[in-house]
Amino acid sequence: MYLILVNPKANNNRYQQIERSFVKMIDQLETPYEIVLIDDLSNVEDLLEQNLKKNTTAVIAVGGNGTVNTIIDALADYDKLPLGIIPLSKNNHLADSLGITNWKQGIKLLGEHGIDTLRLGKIGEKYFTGMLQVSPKRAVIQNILTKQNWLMNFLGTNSQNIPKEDQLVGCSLEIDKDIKTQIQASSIEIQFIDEFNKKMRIKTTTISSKSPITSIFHANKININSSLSMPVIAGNDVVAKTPVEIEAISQTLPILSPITKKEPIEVE
Amino acid sequence: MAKDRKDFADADHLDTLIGKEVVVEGTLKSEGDVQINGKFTGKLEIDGDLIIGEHGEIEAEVAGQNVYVAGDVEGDINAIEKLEILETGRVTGNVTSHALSIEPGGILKGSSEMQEVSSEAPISNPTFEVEEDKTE
Repeated sequence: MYLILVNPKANNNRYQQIERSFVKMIDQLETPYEIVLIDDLSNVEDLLEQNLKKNTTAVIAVGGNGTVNTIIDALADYDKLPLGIIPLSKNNHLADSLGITNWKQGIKLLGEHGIDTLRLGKIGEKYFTGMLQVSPKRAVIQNILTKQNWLMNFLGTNSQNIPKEDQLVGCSLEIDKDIKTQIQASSIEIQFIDEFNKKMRIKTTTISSKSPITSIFHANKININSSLSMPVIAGNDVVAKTPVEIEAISQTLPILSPITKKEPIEVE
Repeated sequence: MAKDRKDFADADHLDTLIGKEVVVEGTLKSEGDVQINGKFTGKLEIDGDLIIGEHGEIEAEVAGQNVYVAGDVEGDINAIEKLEILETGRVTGNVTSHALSIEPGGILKGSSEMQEVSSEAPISNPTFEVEEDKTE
């Protein structure tokens, strides 16, 4: 049986608009299911506890990045219970990486699928999978807006108005307590992938003579400190802010994935 | 596996890549290949190959399988297989390896010691046969 957790508020109440077709399509599946609406994302753990049955074979997250991230965090406490994703927003990072671009594809996948495993990462008590972005660009914009709010309101702003070399944030990275590096980062990506002994892949980009320079590290743990407090973003959600410690853990999460076509999680 | 110059720019299979102008200090241990184009101070313990790019500046004890130096190294180098100092490479320190090559222009200031092949390692018997031309 599938436990289908729907966030009705996701993507401007998208579920309300598609509910009839959604249920009709799910009814055509041979697997029994139960739909539970999420009233508040902070209640997801309780909803799981109340609604999981012995015959639950997978938990299906219906919503955007925030919904998926919250359900991943809650599912990490359950042993090997697979996650399925039915995206309700256009940019659902995990669904995209599996090649699921809309809710209909997500439902079709429930009928016929394989199982992949995703490595989990952790910040504090929260679990993540896929990719985290530490965003110097957003920190810089936020800083400018705070300082020059009236001016920016008048002019309007976006990151393209700021020269690339000014989008850098001074960061110190401590990687596995073994190595330290000081960089002027324009982007930091952290991927939880299953290679190099389950370590995270950390890709930093700096700007030198206006051209981007990439560095790659692999680590189990990274501490990031920065001159400006930078948001740590999973999908589109800010899940933490620097200073932050991010850890790759040995735990994995099974996920329903397409049998034939699957785009590998981008590593570059 | 020995690397060619064209492999130096191939970041796809690197465990670690330290970009130009990035400054790193500490002990870097890696099971895979590592390329350093920035500054590194400390200790490098690399099970795979180590490539020090043209802009690389290393102040460290270095250990690797094959070590290719196109930048500056201050410190001793222990290459299990081959140490190659390229035309822009400069090493100040003592080096140990099975095989050493220094291109014209490359500099080694220090002593070099060639490791003996261990009795357990397979010994290749050189032949004088010429492989057939495999042009298609």
